[in-house]
Amino acid sequence: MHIEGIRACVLNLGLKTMKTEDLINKLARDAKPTRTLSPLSSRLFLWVFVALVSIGIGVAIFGMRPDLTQKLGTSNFMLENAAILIIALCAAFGALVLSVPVGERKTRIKWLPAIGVVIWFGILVSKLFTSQIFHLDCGFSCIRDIALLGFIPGALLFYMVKKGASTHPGAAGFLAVLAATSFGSLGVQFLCKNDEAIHVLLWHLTPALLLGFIGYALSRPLLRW
Amino acid sequence: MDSERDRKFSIMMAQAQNGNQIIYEALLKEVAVVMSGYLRKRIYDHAFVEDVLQEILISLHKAKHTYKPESPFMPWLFAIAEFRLIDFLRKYTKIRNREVTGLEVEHSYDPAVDAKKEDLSEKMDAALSALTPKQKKVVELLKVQHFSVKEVASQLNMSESAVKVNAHRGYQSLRLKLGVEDDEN
Repeated sequence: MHIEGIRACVLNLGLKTMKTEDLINKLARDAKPTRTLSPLSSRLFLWVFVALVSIGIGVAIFGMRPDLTQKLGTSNFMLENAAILIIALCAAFGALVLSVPVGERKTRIKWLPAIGVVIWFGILVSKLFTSQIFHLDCGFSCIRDIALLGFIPGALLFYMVKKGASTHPGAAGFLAVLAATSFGSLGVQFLCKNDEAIHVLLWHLTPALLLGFIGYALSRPLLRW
Repeated sequence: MDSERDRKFSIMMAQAQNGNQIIYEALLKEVAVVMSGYLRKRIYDHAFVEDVLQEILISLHKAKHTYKPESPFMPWLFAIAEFRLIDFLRKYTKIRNREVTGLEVEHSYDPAVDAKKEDLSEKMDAALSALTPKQKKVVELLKVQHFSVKEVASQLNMSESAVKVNAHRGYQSLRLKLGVEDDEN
């Protein structure tokens, strides 16, 4: 039975199982040379490298779209990919910034990926209005591929965030998964033949954003410290 | 003054990261003084200040590896403090909003009353051992694990009213053993 817990909750006495002075002595005795976290830039670089390699392998395994060479020459396709890359990099950067204790002002960084989202959304909406083709199809396989391709980068980034000590775990978890699913979406751009704006909007962009909430939900059990 | 203190703490923390236990102890003591003042302005119930302070010190210890000596120390420290304070306030509100009544918490700002509570704390173990196993279980589930009456009832295969009766008797017994009834009335 958690006697201290009962003491605190029932009698409002607090968890004074140890005097603060004794605790300080104990913590000081426990102090050993500490290896500090690597600089943010090197952690980000490592993550981007692993993410690119894993997405590359994933795309090779799932099979690239047949018209990829042709697509790589179109500015719209490249612009979309650049926007996705911006989302992924900004989200990963934000997750790593928030992986250590930071003040409230720095948490504004969580909005950074919005730049990429707005660009991608803008491209898709403009395509939607100019294109004559407009039919809804089912893209569950795209969601599956985003999740599969983003799994390794997501797990790695979550681990990197956990190695810190986040004072904003919800935002850090959301950004970590958003970064991974954005990379997943980038991979899906190389797999999925359907370039229609409505398809990309509904089955590539929206799931990438929504899956981020899984990171938010996971932050509570996984990023506690 | 503040920047001087920040620089001093920063240097001390860098030495603590290198394993200097004496400097680390001195740093923690100074941090405790700063944090104590910070918490007393924010926690209404001063009986909890010490607990939150200890939480902050433990968190600082756990997050030691995330501090970069070239960056300011105070924003890093206050980020941890705020995080733990919010955590505490959330838990505290949850406890205050429990649906089971019986042993309402009393807010005290009187050091004499606090000292009396300290004394009560020492008697707590003995008082708990006087409860029946069922009462103990009910009190634990309601007050430590924060389950609702309904959840406790289903877990222990009891009716809701039986849970309430057991909780009430448990609280009564605790009050009696600890002599806190007079404090509350």
